[in-house]
Amino acid sequence: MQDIKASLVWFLLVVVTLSMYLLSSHQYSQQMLAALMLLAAWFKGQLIIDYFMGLRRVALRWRLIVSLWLVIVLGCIYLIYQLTLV
Amino acid sequence: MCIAIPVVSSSQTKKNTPEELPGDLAIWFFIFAELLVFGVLFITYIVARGQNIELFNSTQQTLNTQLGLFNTLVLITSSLFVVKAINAIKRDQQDKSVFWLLMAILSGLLFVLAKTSEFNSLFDTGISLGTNLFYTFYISMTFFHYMHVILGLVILAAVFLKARRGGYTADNHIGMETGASYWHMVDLVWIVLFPLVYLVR
Repeated sequence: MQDIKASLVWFLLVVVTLSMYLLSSHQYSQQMLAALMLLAAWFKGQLIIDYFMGLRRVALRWRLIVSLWLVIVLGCIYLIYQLTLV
Repeated sequence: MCIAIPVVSSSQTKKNTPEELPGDLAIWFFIFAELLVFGVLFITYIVARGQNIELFNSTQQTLNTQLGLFNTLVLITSSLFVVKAINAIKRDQQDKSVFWLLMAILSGLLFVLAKTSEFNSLFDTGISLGTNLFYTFYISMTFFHYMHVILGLVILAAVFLKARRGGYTADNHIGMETGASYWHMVDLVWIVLFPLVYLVR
């Protein structure tokens, strides 16, 4: 059961990765794409934190350290990206 | 007088009680420190990009994005194999656990091979840390991560050798979880690094 769950998470990670890669080669708005890429990175990162690292089952304080790192880093990247647009 | 006591089964109690961090607590402090360093690097990169948008966008086009995609898929898959190794040892299936660890190491080696060939071709074409600011960041960040992959592989190899000798059981596999946690951290960092340097323009 645990193996099936892990394989499903892996499948989701692969699908999101391939989708973002295919989207990146299209001539859509770069700003919108950047937001989408970072959102996808957050989603994939949280899946890894919860299901591969196994932090979904541990005390919230430990899970929060890694989850907040992800949100803060990606949030800062997005904010600085937006602020420095020409 | 009758006092109603809620009946909680042992499985419910187990489900609701948070588990301990997987692996040794010390590795987690190491992981937190590593994440902090990578976080600072990523934010410094995006600040530098903001001051050199044209240069970063044009140099980014010279990168082999397909290789970046390949490396992402390989790392994700390697992480899955490590999870399967942990699940197997929790069921006391030592042979299966050893097999999945070997698969994880082989996948990790694919990453190292791909990245080594990329570094070689970059350096062969005369590109170095001093070529421009984008390459300073690109080579520094990806090489720093590459060193972490190599360290992760050394840890996984040590875990594999111990597992092959029957050193882990369903009741005692904290060492395997310690190595696994480090490996997943390497994967997590790449999940942010890949879109940041290859895709965000």
